Amino acid sequence: MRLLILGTGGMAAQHAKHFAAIEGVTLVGGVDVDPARLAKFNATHGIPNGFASLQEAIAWGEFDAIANVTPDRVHHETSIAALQAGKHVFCEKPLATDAPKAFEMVEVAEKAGLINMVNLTYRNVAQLQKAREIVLSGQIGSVKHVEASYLQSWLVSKAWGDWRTESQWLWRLSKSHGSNGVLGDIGVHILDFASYGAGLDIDHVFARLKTFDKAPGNKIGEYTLDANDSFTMAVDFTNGALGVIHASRWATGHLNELRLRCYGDKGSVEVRHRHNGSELLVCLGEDIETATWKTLEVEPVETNYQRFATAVKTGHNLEPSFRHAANLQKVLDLATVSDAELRELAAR
Amino acid sequence: MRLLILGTGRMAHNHAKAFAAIAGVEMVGAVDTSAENLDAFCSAFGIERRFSTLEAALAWGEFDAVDNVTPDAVHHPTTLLALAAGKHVFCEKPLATNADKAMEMVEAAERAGLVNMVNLTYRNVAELHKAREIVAAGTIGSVKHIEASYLQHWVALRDFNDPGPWLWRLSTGHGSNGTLGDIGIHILDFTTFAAGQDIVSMNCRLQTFAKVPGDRIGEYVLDANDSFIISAEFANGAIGTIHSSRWASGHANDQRLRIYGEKGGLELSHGHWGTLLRLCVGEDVPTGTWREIKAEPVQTNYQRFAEAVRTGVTTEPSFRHAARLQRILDLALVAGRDQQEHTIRIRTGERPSTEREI
Repeated sequence: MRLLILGTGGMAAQHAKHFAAIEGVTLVGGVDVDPARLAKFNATHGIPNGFASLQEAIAWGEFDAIANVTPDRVHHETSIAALQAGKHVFCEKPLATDAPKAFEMVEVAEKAGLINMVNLTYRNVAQLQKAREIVLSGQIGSVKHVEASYLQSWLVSKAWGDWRTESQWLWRLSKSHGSNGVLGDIGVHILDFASYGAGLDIDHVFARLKTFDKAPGNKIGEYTLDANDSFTMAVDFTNGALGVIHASRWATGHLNELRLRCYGDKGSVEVRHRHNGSELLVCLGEDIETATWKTLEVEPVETNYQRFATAVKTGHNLEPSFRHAANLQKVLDLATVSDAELRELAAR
Repeated sequence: MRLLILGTGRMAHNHAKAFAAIAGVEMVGAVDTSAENLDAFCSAFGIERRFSTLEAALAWGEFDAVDNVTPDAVHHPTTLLALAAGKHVFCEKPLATNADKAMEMVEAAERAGLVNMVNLTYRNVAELHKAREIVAAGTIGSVKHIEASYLQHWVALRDFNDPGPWLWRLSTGHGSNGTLGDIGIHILDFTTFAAGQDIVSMNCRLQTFAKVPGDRIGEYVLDANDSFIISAEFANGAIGTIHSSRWASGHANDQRLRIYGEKGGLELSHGHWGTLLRLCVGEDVPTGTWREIKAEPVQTNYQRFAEAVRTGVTTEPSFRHAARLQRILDLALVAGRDQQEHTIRIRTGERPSTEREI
């Protein structure tokens, strides 16, 4: 696969590094509006061709696929342009800024029969994949109750820098700078973590969003601090199981931690993904009588990058697909409405 | 204190054991409609006077306080009778089957100036008091985000072909309000007591899972809720989720509470295996390091009641506190049906017992 990297900012380095390590993948070009950043990126990763716009790259045309690592609101327009030029697309999350745009991308990709995948990075956590395998195998029986949390503490801790002075954090607190807060930032990750791990689709959602006071007048310089810091969702899944899905940037003691607890009538699984490692705990078989939990060791799994390369090679789309991401985006959109109207909404 | 034990079922044994160990408490009589249970109970605890009704015991009258360990639906009429006869009352939870009845009990007790307390058993967990102390001291700063769960596994482990004495807990027709009614009050109290925050607005989702074809075993219609999720906003603006299930394989009877504030985090876990209180504050914040906090034992509700009767001053958990929690549980049932947000004018936290507003 000849790959074009579209956008050469922070996350693009991860993409370049991972794709370069995959046999059969060649990084043939980079695109960025900033010539200096582009030159540096191409030099670092040994990429031969540079373009100032996607249109220029498409006019050249000598690539099979693009890794779309542009800012969130550019994903839609650029992915559609690439698909219309017959290129496969691997897109950073979120797929689009709202569900209708995301579904437009799904339609274009599926109609063209092109590979379309989204980089939901926590799919690379082997413990999550194993948990899903256990759930789908029926070992925990019918799922009844789910709790999932994505907890960060960068509004309290300075481990990642100081949000009061650094623009890389301040914009995430401000709607007018393109942030939909913690819901927009990490909501898609924990929705995917919960529903993928539990092997269930969300049926109804009730959401509560909260923006706490953070500065005098909730303003720091040009940044109005109006994006949400915490959310809780009470959902039910299509099989009737109930689920709690919540996230916060105020959760001291958790730098960047995803957790999923999934309870069935025959057993349970719990996945903990922390900054210093991941764990899969299970309570299965006779252990349910004594509520005894055991840690399962798991084998590493293919990354999204590897899965995308495989999909392009075989011509068969793999998960996480555009359609899957669009379905999650729909739940995120509904969460905002549910919070505003203080009532539950149907997700399907 | 001369104490009458009203009801001699399983829970009454725990009460009798606990009260027997308190200096100054004398169990002078017991009441049960089943003569067999009553005799076995009184023999086991060396209780002299035996009555088949509360009325008969009140006619005798030589006791100061009643320990009400009757079935839930009987708490209300029996407690009112005892209060009307001038007896202090220690009542099993839930105080009543709905908030209006609970408030009637509050008013009767407060008007009579009698000691009135409810046995919210998890108040006996020392680490819960320590957690409240830590939050109240401002150690974790202003509270922002809360998650609390009460998970049990007993329904998942049951053989529905061989129903036992637990069957009534699955049926509203037999007086059960499901998981919400059974353990909802415990986790609501656990959460609001530790966080020192009242719930001011909430929604609730309830679920009853299919258990047998037709959802019926003999005369028992299996319609009581098995799981609930309460989505709440607290008085200071913090948001939280309080959830529970009796299908949670892997958790025999576990409460867990996570409270995050603007300076730190606190996590309290309690189960048959023990209790663990952990804290992440100060220098541990950037590394996400948690440390265990030890707590000194606290007085049990039984001890607190004995002391309250001795001093004549009601202490917590009071009838009024339990009635406030009952109001939230009642609203949770309504929200479970209409899926709307409900604002609570009453507060669940601790208030001076002179407060008349609910």
